[in-house]
Amino acid sequence: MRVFSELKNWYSSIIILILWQAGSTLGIIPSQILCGPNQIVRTCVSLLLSGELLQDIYVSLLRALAGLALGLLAGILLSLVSSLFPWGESIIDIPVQMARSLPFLGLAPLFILWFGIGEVSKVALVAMGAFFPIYINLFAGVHSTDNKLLESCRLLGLSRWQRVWHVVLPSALPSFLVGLRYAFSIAWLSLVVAEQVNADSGIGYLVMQAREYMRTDTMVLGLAIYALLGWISHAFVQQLETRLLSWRPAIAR
Amino acid sequence: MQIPAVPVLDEKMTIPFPANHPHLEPTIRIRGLSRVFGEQTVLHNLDLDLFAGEFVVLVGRSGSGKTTLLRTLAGLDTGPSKRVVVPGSVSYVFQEPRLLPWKTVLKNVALGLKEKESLTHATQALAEVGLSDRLQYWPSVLSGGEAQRVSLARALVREPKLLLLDEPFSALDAFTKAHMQEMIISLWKRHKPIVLMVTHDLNEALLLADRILVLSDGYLRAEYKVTEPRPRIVSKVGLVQLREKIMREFDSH
Repeated sequence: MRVFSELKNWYSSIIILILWQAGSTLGIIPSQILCGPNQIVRTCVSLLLSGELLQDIYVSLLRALAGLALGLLAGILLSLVSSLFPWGESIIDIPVQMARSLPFLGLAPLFILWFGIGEVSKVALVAMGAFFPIYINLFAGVHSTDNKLLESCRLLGLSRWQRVWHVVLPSALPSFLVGLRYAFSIAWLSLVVAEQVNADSGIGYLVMQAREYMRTDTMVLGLAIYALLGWISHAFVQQLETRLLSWRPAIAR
Repeated sequence: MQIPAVPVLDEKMTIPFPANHPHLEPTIRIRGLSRVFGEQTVLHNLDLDLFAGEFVVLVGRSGSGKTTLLRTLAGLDTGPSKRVVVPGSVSYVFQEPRLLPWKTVLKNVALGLKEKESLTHATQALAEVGLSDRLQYWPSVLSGGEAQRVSLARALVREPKLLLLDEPFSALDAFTKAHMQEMIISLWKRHKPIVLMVTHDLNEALLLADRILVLSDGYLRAEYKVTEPRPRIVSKVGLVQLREKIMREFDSH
């Protein structure tokens, strides 16, 4: 019964897949425009067997994680300094707010100029993309702390740093996790751009190379892998939310 | 244990007040306390003595300066008025429970306790307010009355010399309120803090107080001793008469 009801959610997707396959088998959708699902699966298997696909995924994943780690670190540090100290806000916040309005993906060519065509420029672009949502959401989260709670904790004798630890950071956490969710999706987006502008390995490279040979199967496969990675990171943040925010009325049982 | 009488920093310290406690040294002595917010004077040159172990209730209309007085005693009001020095620890219970939603009931009560056995003390305090079965609950799942009991436990676990209650039961329904009033009396008898409670409910004042102070427009207008033994019923002749007297006092201003 349960399997049946869960299947119901997939009906439309399955129908689209069947139509796509039928169109491609009957020649209605030419393979130069879009390959059929069966061709994509076949390509996936052969690239997996040759080890090429796993190598590319590994390289892309490493770039994304390194960039994310850097962006997270910088975002958390700068945001905390800027939201917890008045002098921090005047030094950090205005430049960050100005830089935020830059279309940062447009910085890719400049980053190549600054950091070379190697890994550094790609990681830097991902880091920059991840930085802003972390910074902005954590900053807003810290500022949304309920003054009444701070006041009652002061009466309980908590020092300033104890109040930051017990009150400010926990109340900023939901907002931070929203930022983390954005950071992940922007990180994948930055990675696509960085790898397509200039790369000799990674998923983006795989897609760009496939374009040269009009291999729509490999191109769709590359996009599907990006989507899969994005979905995994989404599930990861969701897990994190369920665990860390179990005190919230909506989740608490 | 001898409680030292710590004087308030002030100029006219020698005037004995009130006259009906000639044999006792007050534990807390306030002289000439004024508080001005902008154009408005909230407290006018106020004199107040609080004696060990008494239950004092402050009644007055909204805006009469009741809460300002309480906040001054708690050290929350850092305005240009005199600082009132209170010997020993002070606990404050607000109208809202002000529990940290991300900490369990037990952790909320243990917050701010320094000793290693803080959890043992917190467990005992929660047992006293009848919440032994709620130790690991999140505050969001508690009823209003339960949450306010946690707040009381959190205030009492620190063994305060002065317990400030700022309309603690005014958000509760009539039945819960009656139950809480009984509970606060039994807790007060056991722990023997000085209680200074603010309420706008005259019946509540008559049920609980040793002494009722009438505050109006920032002036302490009158003081009434309530000698009726507890537990009290508001329909008792003596209390009805006292109630009328206080109402007349209100009407004269």
